[in-house]
Amino acid sequence: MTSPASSSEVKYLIESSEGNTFDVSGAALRQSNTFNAMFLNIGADGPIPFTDYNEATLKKVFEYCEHSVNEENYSGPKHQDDLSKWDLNFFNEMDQKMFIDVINASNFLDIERLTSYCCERIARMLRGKNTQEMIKVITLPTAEELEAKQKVEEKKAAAAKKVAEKAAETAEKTETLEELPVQQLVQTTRNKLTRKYLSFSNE
Amino acid sequence: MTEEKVEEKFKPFHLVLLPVLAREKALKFLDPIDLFEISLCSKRMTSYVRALRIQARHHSLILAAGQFSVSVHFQRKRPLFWDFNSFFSRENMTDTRTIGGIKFDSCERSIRNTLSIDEFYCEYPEKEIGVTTVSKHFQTIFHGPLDIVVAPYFHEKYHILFSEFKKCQELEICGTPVPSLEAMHKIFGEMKVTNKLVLRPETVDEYIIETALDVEELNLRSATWMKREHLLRLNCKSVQIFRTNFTSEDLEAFAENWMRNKKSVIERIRFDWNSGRVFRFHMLNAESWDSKKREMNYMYENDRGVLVRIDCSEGFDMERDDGLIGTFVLETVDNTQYLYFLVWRERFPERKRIEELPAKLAPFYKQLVTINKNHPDATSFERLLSNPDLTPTEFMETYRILRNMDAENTGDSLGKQSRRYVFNQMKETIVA
Repeated sequence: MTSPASSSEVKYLIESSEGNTFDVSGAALRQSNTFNAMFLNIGADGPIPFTDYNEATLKKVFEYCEHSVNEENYSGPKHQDDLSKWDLNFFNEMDQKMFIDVINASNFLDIERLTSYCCERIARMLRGKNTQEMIKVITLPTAEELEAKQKVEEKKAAAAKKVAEKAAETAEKTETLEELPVQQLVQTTRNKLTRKYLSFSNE
Repeated sequence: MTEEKVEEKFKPFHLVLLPVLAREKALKFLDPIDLFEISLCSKRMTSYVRALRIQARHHSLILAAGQFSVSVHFQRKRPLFWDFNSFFSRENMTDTRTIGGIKFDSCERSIRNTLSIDEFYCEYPEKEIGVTTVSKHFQTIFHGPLDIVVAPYFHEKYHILFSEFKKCQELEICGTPVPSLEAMHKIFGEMKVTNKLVLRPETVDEYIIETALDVEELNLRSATWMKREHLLRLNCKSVQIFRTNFTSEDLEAFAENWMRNKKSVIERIRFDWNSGRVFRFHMLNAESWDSKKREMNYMYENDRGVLVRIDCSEGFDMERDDGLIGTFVLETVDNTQYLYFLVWRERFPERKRIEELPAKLAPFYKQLVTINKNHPDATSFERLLSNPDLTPTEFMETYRILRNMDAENTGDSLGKQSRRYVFNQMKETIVA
């Protein structure tokens, strides 16, 4: 059930990328500026499709919104000591992929508080660390890893080139006029003649 | 039953996968030292930090005798220092940082030390390369003007600095040995100084320091290289020059030029005027002081914020078409004569200062209301001094009496101490 009414009792149906739907309270949903801009005044006929995000991500996003419904004045960055048990559990339950997905969803839904909340966590993860430690946190390859990766890629590229060349050679040997379609036959013949002509003129 | 403590678990994540707004928001929560660290992770991270467009108040680069440091200062954030000085023996210089392709092997990071600054200590044999590289990186990630202090005599490769940086806000050359002509070319060949140029050593006559002529504030130990043509081109707000070869005729030409040039920004020039030279105008129509046209004392605030007054009662005045008055006046300090050229942007500065006093004193009277309310033990004189209707003269007279009576009054209550603190500040404001 969806309704343009703004009372907090109203529930909205949200549709995820899997096509699943679930309820979210109007008060929680109104934290999303995207929702406010798109649906608040006109209402939604049927479930609201947020189909770029999976159910687990959207549920996590609205879990935060439901929790912070009464937190009217957002008090800015929180230090580790200020975090409640709920805050800690909220983050600890997420794996790396979901954390990124939640930030992306929050960014799309334009939920300022949640975006800030997640960004504070990122800042806490990075604060006080040296470069090497930061590289590990933001999973950037180190200079050595980059070098090793480049070597592997170069090896792969060289191997691929060899395979391609061999394949081309084999193809040329096994190529028979009968097997080729008419247009390709004409082109192949033309190419061969051109090559012959070129070799003749070079001599 | 005690509640189980939950620790925040950090799992690595891909910062590059974040949306731009979220990434920038997260990075803006970090202090400069953390931003510096993250900028060293990769070129992409450097560009991310740079894209935040964090404005530095100024960058500082010091390559002096026994001091080799780089720092960046902000309006509201803690400054960040990188010190190459090996004077302090450090125990944990085991970190490595790679900046601009140079590997600094012996580094130590010190956060929020006793001076409340974030700092790196580093040992690197080639200080000139070290300071240049680190400052260049600081300037890449934090936007802001550069101030340089350099003692060329003590650093063989000081020119590296000037081949890298072509523009700075302030430049101070220190040390006493005179820089060679070659050194002057290396330093000033391509350098543009915008705000302040200070040259502590004397300089060779053969080198014309072009950038000195239109810097905002100029301080030269010697300017014998300056000829009349340079004096006429001089367009600095404040100038202090020792050792010149100018004659009265040069100054007369300068004054004539100033009378014609309405675009001149000159406010104050101080020449070292040797006793052997006579200061006399031949052609110029200069007048003696007329108290109706201007006050006796010229006033300006020096580097330390102290108000300085120059007695111009013996000065020679010239009035321009646009109403601006310029004054030449000689001052003798410890047997040395100085010649000032002063421009009166405000003809009656003291009168203006007195007029502005009530507004400056208002916050102090507000403080006194609160103090007297919380500590109602004020004496009659203290209550009188807390009265905003007193004129500055009345305040000063009452203040003096109160101070004279201090010997008789015993006991120092918190209220009394607080009031005295405010009265003293008010007195400093009035007699500045």
